[in-house]
Amino acid sequence: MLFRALSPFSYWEAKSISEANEILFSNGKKAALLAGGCSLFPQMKNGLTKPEVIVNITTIEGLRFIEGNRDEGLRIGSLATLRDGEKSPALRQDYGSLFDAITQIASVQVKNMGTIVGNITEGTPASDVATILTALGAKVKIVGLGEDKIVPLDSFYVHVRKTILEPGEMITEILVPPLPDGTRTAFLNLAKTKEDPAKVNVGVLTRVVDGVCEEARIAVGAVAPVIIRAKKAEAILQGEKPEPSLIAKAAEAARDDKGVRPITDIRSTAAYRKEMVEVLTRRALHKTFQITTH
Amino acid sequence: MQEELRVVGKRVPVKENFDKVQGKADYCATITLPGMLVGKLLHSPHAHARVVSVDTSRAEGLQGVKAVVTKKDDPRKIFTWNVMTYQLPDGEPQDQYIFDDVVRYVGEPVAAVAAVNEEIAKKAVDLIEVEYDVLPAVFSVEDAVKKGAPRVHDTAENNIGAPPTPVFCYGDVEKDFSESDTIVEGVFSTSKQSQAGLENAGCVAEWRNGRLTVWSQAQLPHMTKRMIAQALDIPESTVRVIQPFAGTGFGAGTDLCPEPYACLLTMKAGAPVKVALTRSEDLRMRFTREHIVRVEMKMGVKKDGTPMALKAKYTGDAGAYMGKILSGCGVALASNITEYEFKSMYQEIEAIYTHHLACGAMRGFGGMQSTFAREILVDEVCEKIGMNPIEFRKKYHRGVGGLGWFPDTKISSCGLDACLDVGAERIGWKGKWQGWGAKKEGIRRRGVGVAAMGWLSGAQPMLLEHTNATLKFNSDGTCTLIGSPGLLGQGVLAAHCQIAAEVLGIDYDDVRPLTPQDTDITGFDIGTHASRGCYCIGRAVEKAAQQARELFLERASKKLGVAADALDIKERRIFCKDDPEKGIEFREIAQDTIYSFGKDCRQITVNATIEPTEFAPPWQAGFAEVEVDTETGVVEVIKMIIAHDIGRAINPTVVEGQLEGGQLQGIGFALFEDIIISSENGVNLTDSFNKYKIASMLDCPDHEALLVELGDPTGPFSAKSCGESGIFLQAPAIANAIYDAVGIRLRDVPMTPERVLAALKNKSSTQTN
Repeated sequence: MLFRALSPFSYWEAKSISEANEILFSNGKKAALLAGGCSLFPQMKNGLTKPEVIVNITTIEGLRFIEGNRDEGLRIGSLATLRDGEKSPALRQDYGSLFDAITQIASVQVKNMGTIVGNITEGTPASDVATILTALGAKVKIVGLGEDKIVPLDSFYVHVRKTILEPGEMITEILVPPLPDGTRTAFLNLAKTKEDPAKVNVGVLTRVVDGVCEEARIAVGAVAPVIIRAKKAEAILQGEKPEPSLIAKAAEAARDDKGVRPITDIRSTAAYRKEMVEVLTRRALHKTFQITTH
Repeated sequence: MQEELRVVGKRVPVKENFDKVQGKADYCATITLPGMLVGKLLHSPHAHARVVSVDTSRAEGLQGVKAVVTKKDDPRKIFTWNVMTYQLPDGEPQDQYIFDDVVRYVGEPVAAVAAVNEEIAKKAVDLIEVEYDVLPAVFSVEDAVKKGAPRVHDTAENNIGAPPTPVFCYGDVEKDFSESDTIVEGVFSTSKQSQAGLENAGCVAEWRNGRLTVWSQAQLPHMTKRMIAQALDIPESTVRVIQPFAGTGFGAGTDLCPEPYACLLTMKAGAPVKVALTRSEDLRMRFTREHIVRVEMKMGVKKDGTPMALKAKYTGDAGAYMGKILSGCGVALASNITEYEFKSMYQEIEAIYTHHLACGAMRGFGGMQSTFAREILVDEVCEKIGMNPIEFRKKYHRGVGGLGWFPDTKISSCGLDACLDVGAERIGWKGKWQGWGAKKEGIRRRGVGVAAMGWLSGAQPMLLEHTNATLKFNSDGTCTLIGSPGLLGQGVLAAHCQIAAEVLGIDYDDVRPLTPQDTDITGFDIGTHASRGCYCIGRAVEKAAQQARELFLERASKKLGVAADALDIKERRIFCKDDPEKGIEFREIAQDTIYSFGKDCRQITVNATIEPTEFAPPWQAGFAEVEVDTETGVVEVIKMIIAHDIGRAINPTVVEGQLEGGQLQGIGFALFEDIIISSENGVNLTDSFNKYKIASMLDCPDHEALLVELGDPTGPFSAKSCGESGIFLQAPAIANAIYDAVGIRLRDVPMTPERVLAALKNKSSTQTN
């Protein structure tokens, strides 16, 4: 029988968050955290990472939950799987854009394994989940040996596959803010095939009060080393009536945002990606502002 | 067609599938032998380099390493991985050594190791020190023919593997072009698709007592045997090829891959060796689809559509070795002859070496590429003369008695009209096609497109299609079917058993196919390629069954005292046609052949040989409905229908399965599958399924495969082929539907959103100018 032996490692099943923190901290960069394993296992098999200590956190109770609604906000525990998200009534009813982002990921088999938190901690700028969560203004609760931290997702990423997580730290939950009246959200992406990572993706949140856009958050993924916010585009909409011409201007501003600096690779070209930022942003905004187009 | 059939035409289950779904079927990946070693290959990181030295001493010193082989162990017999070369009297070009002095593509093996386990084998590979003299490389056919370009082979000046060569031309094209009212032309490009089988390339080899046994994924086990013997410089009879089930196919098994290395290793180590490639290795070194990188085609017609002249040139990017590029280009050319009644044709092929991985074969071999170009140009012609594209196809396709692919071959049957009719009906052509130049509005626009083709059922008479089938009867009236079609999951064994059972008047369950297949047992067979499994091998099975039937009737005639020709067999019983009450059970006769105490033992074992000569093309019409997003360039296939002229479906479920599988690969070819090789260093950038995307079930649009069964006078029970046919018409039908939707003509496969958008922009800028 052929096998692909992994480098030796010691294996721990943590019983509590603090136990996981301690093992992770004391082993520093040699340690890896295991939840769904969707990112860790392929990397280990391909020799891209060779952890000497693996801490399985699926043995910690109380981390697999999705709770809340649009009035109170949403809490997603670090062991909630993508499939849990897909099946959650809270997502389907109140956070439809997050549902949209999760439901089109890979296959059911992968979604049964992968966790929502794992998807965002992997640190790929093409993460559909991280892009929409950024637009939703989500924060992550980071628990380590020191004080707990609550960090907005748009300051969580440092570079491709690099986050602010320090040795010993882990995300225990994602906190998605409530959606006040007038708030609508949308998620769109483009990919080569249904289970390929996005060529580009866009998440949008807008809040309209008395016909005026009071808040706009636009997150764009796969166009830079980290997911970016198209802040100029957001500013164009802020305090204005969302007319199609203004939306078009905002979408162009998103495309021309300095942060949008995509690359050409096997999945697409830089030029195409840049152009699609405009198209997807405009379409997502039309969706949230409920403007019908053909 | 024949009277009532009891087994043929029924949706009986494929016998091997029971083992497969229970995980009990053996593949090269699962074969384990006592004392088996694991082989690993050392691949060249360079696209072009002279191998100055290979130091294996450290690897050989590693505990657990049993053999290391390099070019010193290679008997240095020129050969080719392309085992099909022996189907032609002069063969196809042979230009490979197991290990050469020069490496010509990234991934080419330089050495191999056998060790007690994979980890040690891997470590040993890392300990081999190779000194390369890195040479400049060339990564496109355009660059390869430039003056002073690096040479892939010293013997090939300007890297020309084969200069432009006209083949099967007839008539006077220049005259007919001058008499044409409308002429269209285009230059098309297609991609280097991967067969992308589930099982990576792999094999097991065992050298024992002077014999070499190879468990291989070969689709052509007997010619594989011959080629392995040639490469190793040993008599052919010392080689035995066993084929367990192959978890791959689609043409991948028509070339060798790890076999030569595993053989060298076992011969040196004296123990069995398995070499199972990783996905990355598989994508980097298993020969891909024949890469016809450029198709230039021109056609001229009269005002009423009458086809006048067709001119085409097919340029193959051979890669590092000739492999199957010449036959691929040749098939592109030959298959293009049959579809339409052109007054004259001039077509040529050429092949150019580059520092890419060489080409093998994939489903739709060559015909994919010419069909893509031709069917788009036909659409253009129809628009110019204002003709319905279905009408053109019905009016001008060749029919029975018309010219087949090869000179002097005649088409034996043609059901294309019916295919076009049922397909058009199903897609709703009448309501959906609004005529040429129909104005479409909106960001997302829908369109429909049609394409057609005629393929083949075995490559006779051009290629040797010699086949043997044997039926060996047991005392209980059942029999073993001994053949060698290559076990690549095509389901053809079900059809063979159905044919035999039908002829013999026994049940489907009474015929058991031999698996795994073994060249020590099976008679010579070309194997599976060119969609020949049901038509060619099926005819040998039919003939063997007929012979066995006669032997049974003869014997029954003695028992019953009735003339043999007055007897018939149905439902396992032999009886008098005039007096059905009078008869004897089939199994009683079978028992008597083996346990005859009247000194008349003679086990019935019949072998039938066939060398088919007839040309029986299956025909097909394809219809696509697409929605094009004009802002993103995304093409969504709303519905894809193919209507296939099968003659008769021996097992409709198997036929539909073949066609539907082909549809998905055809959609992948049309829209996204693409091996991307760096033009800077020749590295395959798409060496995993994470990067080389094939269609999954999620990418599967609404699709149907419709069967048209009008019979064929030459096929077994009127059957024609279906193995490759599913894959052809997605690309041209989708391309024509895109034109119907948004008015752009795409010439390059895959038709990615990036390309669609660029073409849309190009169109609008041309219009505003």
